[in-house]
Amino acid sequence: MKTDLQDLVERFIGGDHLAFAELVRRYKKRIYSIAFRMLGNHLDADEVTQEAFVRIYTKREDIKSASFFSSLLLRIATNYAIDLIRKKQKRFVSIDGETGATEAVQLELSESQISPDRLLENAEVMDEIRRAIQKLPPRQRAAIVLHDVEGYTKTEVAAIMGCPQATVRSNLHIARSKLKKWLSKII
Amino acid sequence: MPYHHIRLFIDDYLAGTISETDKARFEEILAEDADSRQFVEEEKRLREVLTRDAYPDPGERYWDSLETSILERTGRIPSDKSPGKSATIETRETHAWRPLLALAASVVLFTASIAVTENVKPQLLYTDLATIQTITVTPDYRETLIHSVYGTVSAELDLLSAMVCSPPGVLTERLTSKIIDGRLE
Repeated sequence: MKTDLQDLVERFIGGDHLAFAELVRRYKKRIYSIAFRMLGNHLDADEVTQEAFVRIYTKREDIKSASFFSSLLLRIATNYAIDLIRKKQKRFVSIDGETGATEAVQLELSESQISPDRLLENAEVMDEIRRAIQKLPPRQRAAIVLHDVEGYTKTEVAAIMGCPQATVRSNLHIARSKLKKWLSKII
Repeated sequence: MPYHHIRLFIDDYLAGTISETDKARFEEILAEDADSRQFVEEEKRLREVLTRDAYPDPGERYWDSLETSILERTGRIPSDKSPGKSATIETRETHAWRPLLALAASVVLFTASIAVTENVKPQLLYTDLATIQTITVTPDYRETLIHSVYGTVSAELDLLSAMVCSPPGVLTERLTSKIIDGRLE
């Protein structure tokens, strides 16, 4: 028996405009959330979300099944976000030579001596956590956001990122080690 | 340094998806190894911190405008009839021709300014020629630009085109100055 999503995706592939509008309605917040966490600002998150939907619209004939739809949409969004991060990093490094972000995050955090529970309630500290995530290289960042923040399984993350599970595991391990170091005063 | 078994199964352990056999071994190691215990605590805490980081909700108005914007860009809604149109961010593929479009617009504006002004200042013309010389386009295209800009005012059009199509240099600049000064004075 067809699920509601299968039906929607099949109608979308067949050119049903209302089905596409419904898919946008259902997935927009999820895509925006991932994009925002990866890029850390509204403008870029908005751009990634729009691009992901526009691109999947143009690739709708490549969609083989309903389950492939969300995986493809997430893959498009993640890859676009990774490209955007790389472009921004190139511009940033070309101006400053190197980011020096790791030390900056550590320094700012080390100056704070509030208890961990209080820290979590503090918006500035949450901002620091976001910044720490954004200091990660693009693929490590994608793995952390998709797996640890958004709750996708390693199998799903591997499908979204188009790489083996072992690579996802390795990306997660390295990213977590860095985050633990940078956020040592909080965790 | 935590045991390999701990590092390998930490996700499954924290997610509660670890098998009974692996869980037994996992907890056995935890009971006897302080490094592994600390590692698991830190991993647990990191996940708690990361999952508590909610993204700021931009609000219903934004979600509606985002939806409208996507549907407009895919041609599902005519852009002039849609309500609450949000600022559309263009695709990056369009960026390649943007400089040329801007250049074409400059050429049109400059041509128009020449048409309405009899006394063009030599310096302005000279600056514009120098700018065109530096444009990275094919010689044919650069020549077309020259014809567009100076076609109506230059008596030495062929010579001027040839000069501008050649690489920028002292000789070219000197000749350009001479021609412009001679013609406009």
